[in-house]
Amino acid sequence: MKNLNFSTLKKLEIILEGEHQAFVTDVLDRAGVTGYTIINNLSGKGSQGFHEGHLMFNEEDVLIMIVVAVPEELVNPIIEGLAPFYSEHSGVVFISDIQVTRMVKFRG
Amino acid sequence: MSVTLGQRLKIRSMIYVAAEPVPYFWPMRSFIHHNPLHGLEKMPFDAAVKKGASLFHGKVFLPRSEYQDYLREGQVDVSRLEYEIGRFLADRSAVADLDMRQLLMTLLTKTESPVMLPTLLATAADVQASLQGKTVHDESDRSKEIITARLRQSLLQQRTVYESVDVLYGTDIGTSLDELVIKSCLDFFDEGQSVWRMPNREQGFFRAWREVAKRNIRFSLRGLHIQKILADHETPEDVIHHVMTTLQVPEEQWIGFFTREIARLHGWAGFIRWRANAKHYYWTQRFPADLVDYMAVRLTLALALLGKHEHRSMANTAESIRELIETRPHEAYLRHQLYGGTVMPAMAHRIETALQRNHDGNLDRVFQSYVKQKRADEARRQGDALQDMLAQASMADRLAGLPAAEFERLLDTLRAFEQQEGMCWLRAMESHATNHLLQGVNVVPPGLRDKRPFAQALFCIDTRSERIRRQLESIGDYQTFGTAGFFGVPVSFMELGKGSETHLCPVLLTPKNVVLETSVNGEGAHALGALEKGLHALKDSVLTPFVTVEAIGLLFGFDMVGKTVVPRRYHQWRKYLDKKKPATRLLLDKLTREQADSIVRAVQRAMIVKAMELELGQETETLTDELIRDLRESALGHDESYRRHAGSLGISETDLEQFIERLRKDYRINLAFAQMQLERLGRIGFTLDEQVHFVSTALKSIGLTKDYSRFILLVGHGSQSDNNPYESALDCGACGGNHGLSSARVLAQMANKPEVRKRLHELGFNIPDDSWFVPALHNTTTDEIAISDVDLLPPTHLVYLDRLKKGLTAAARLCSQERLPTLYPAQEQQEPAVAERMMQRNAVDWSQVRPEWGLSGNAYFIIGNRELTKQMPLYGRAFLHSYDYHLDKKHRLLENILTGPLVVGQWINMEHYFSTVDNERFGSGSKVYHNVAGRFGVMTGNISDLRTGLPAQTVLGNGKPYHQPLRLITVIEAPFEHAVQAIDAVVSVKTLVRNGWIRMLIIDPETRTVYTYEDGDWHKQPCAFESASGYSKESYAS
Repeated sequence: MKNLNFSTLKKLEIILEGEHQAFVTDVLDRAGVTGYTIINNLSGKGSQGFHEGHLMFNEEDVLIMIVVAVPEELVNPIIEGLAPFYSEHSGVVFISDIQVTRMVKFRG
Repeated sequence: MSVTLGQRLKIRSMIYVAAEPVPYFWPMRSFIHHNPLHGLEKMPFDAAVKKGASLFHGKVFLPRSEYQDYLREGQVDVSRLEYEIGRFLADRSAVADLDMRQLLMTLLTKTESPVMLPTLLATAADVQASLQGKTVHDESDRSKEIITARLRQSLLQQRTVYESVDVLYGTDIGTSLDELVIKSCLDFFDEGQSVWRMPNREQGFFRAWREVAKRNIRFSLRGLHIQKILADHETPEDVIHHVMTTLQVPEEQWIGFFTREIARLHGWAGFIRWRANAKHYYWTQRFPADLVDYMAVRLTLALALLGKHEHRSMANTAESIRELIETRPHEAYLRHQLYGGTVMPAMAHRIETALQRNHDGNLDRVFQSYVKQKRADEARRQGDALQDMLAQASMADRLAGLPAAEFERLLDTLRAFEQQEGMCWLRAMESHATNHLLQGVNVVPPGLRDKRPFAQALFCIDTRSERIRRQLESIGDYQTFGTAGFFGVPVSFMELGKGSETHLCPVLLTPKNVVLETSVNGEGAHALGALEKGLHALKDSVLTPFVTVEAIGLLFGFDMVGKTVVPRRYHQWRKYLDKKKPATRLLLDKLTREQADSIVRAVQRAMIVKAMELELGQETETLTDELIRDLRESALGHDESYRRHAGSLGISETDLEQFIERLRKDYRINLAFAQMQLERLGRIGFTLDEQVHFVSTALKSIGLTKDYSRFILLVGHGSQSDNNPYESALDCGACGGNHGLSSARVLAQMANKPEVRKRLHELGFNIPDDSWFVPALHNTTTDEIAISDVDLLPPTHLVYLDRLKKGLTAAARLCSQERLPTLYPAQEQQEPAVAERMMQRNAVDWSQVRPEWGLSGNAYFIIGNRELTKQMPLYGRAFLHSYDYHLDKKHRLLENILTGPLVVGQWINMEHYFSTVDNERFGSGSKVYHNVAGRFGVMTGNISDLRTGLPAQTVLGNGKPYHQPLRLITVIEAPFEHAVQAIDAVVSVKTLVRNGWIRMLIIDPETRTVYTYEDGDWHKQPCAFESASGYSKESYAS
């Protein structure tokens, strides 16, 4: 592994109720994001109390997290776009700086 | 001005949030019961119904007179009604020395319609003065303030811009707009019913519509200038932004504005909302559309219609309407009265003339005089209503003499009481239904059996199962159980002869496993081998859809899904009766890695053959196996052996190299795609572990862990009727609105498999070898139960088959006999055999608008041992889920019952509730006027909103409610702590219980105590089932 080139990106970790997954991924798609990772059945504690993630018969009840790496210029549009949604629903978005090696994976 | 990416996304987000109060509307082919106020379930029931009433302009309780009828029939708990009145009065001050308890009771039980009328201008003093025959004294400044405030609310908050224009200028933009929007929707969303096909639909709703609209003569003829609006705006978000800024609506009001816009045609909006979210839906994939498109279409047309009516002094933006209210409230009020339909007829002409002349001084005079008269009129009518009511309570003489402050308090009290009256009735009816149930239940645990039952039968929790189970138990040694009709196995089912998957499970779930139905004669055992034969076999194979995807499907010239979806009619069930379907088996085991690899290889080979023909003009016959193998290996990047074939094919090596590249890119013969194909094939079937898990969970959930019979029937259900777009509503909700036979067959095939049995034994399920799981279908229209897969029965069972069939027939006849009077009230009691024939005739009569009552009447959901209500006929009003808490130490099984089956039960219950209390708004009106729209819904007449909810014939009989609108009274039989922990662990159910969408009771058999959740807390109740006491006020005193 030689010539490793690091590029700077922003990572968004979007936590939301599972039933709204399609809405958020649609927003990401339309923002031009090329890929994301979804983590299902989160458990943890937040302002709504403790969430368990084991239910079998109702998938819409669980919390999920969508992890996505985007160029900096997409952060504001995505956050602006999600603002009306988060004023009605529980969940959070974490934003952090990250480095990636294969930049080609993240440019649409 | 260009719209930024952030703004576009924000508009999408706003519309998403704005649409949430509007529930999904599923295509009628698989009718899904839903709560019309599902989007408001996060609010308490009483607050949510208020909001729902204003949002959908619907009624959320029955009229008082209907409740009074129930009262006469003894369906209302009077003591609870008194308790509710007492509770209401508890935190209000007395009105002089009037007996308010008596007065309010009279109001509820003797007065047919509300006593408090909608008044704006008349004060309590005015009403009292009117009663005393005095004139109302004037203070018109106060009136002006009230009027301005009301105008702001009515014109700026409760209406969209064109709706306000309609009530100010007498235009009818709203109706024209809805009509144009519906026509646009019919054109775009058509699923093969219409002759004309809208072009460019694959580009999406807004873009396709935009192309047509720009050239639409219908619009130009109407004087609509669509082009102007559309010219500079290509995306739906841009158009929405343009229209909203042109209409000068402040951005913080957009969401509310969008909600009102969406709620106007909530059926269409709900359908589009569902469709946009149903990624697997064939028509979504072909012709995408969402509510952003819909909003753009609506707003474009709305702006065009506003433009058409534009004239000099018209206020036609939010800003100019606000200005009109603030600067010329007289004019705004008179206009609103005249065109909003609330004007006093005697003055209508004068107002109209004054508005036409538009002379300020004159307008003011008319305004003053109108307000005065209106106020007097309101006071007089309110006074009269009050007088009548008090006369009924023998208190009429007390009214005029009340001190002013007391009189005002009386009015306030009456108004406040009538606003929450519906909840009083509802609680009192629920209290009656609860007492009725509690008096009949039995908490004595069943004794030990000395021998196993002749047969055991698992039925769906559906309320219709209650009757047939009771009858079956009554005629012999049958033990029955209740479980969700998909038997706990979420399956995506691909029926023989169909290219599309059907989800057999509650819509809350997305099945991960696919089960294929194959013919015994045809592919059957050779399903895998067949593919080896090449292209022809590939086309016919049931496995093909899993290895080819859209592009490749089209390449072969067959549109797999389309072919099978388009001719699919509403009458799914019929072919089970009409056509003799060949015997089938289910492919429900996982493929091995070798099998999957060989399928992918076969497909790749077929692709190469096709590509050779299309790209290189090679005849199939000339292609050797060796050649194909080398090309394949090369395309996959394993080697370069293709080079040696250049000569024999007569093309240059470079051309061949390019061909290999095409194979990789266009024909997708590459490793990444092969991996994806393997993933798709991986969806087929269940692993042995999964099968053992599903069978053991199914048995444990219902407490069937011992005394296994020779026959264990798994009874799915379906209805049968002719000419009925609502047929699916009568099928199994737990199977996604399909009949339940396939789900029964899936579990039976798993449970009869020796490997599964062996593992079950290891887990402690001692199912004897001679126990056989038998799938069956309960026809809820005729009551028949038909056994399926009889050919698989072990020979040892055949001698008992006759007895079983006779038993099922007898139960069916008794069930028909019991149901007959509900369908034909005039009929005398019939012999069981006669009743059976009448039900069968009913099922094939195409003019029959009510083939059966379906789930109408549902009121209870009982989770517990069968013994709890076995001795108590519930006449098809109860969902019954078997449950034995002894087997569920960690209450996980109970949590599953709550999250899935109970939630589905609650949707069904609420659908019936709202379809009953307002059949026009929340139900779908009379079936007689229904027309099928676009093959997915119905409209009333030629053009209307899509009708959601249940038709009048399902919930009303002779114009009266047949269904009693109650919230689902749910009983869990388990120790208190155990049940509460399960409820608290399931957030969605906890919310439903706390917010009063479900009435939750826990019967603790160990302490013989009943706990009721009421007003935010659990209340212990004395054991009604022992003392048989009625409602006790004391128990609510805590």
